[in-house]
Amino acid sequence: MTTFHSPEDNHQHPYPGVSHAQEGGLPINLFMAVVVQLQDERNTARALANLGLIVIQLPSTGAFLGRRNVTLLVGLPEDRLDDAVRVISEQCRQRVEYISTPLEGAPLPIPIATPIPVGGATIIVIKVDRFEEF
Amino acid sequence: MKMIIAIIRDSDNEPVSQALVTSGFRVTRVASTGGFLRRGSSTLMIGVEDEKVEQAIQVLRESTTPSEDPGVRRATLFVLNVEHFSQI
Repeated sequence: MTTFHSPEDNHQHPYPGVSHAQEGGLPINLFMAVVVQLQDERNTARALANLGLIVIQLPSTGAFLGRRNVTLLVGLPEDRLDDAVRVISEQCRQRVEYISTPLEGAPLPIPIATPIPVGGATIIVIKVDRFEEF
Repeated sequence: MKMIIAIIRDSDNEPVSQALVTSGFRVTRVASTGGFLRRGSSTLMIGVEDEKVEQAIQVLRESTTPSEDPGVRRATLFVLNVEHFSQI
């Protein structure tokens, strides 16, 4: 169940989350909200789905730069948490972005590039009271 | 107090929201994608009293249109515990 599929064979499971979660028969008792950068969304969602988890994407914005990002909602059994966190940390890298700020004390507004580290991912895990599919 | 996060098909959004509101539940809809349907889906957030969870799920069950393919899920529900709830 924990074997990694390459992204190419992902298409064999049109609904990866559902089928795997049921095959495994493990109760889904954790709910995870993961905020990732737009660039990391595809790979992260795919990697999580390949773990056999239920993944839903919501577009969102936020953080220091107010950039668009993606919130992934993930349903998972308790003992998959470590795997999921590992996969997320593999896919979501911290990057340095540059924003232009005016140079202080200059007679003209001369923009200078200010580096800002943009975070990898924010993970929030909540206990699920009850999980159902129909 | 509990929060139900229900992921349903986009086409079911209208009837399901309608049915929930008629039954006295408050629904917030968020557009989402992925997961059990590669197309767009709707995520509904429903705040309910503990004892009404069953009723809300029943409404969801009845208002989602049955799919032609039994392998395809109509809805995925997470019921989460709410520590604090207030409306201001």
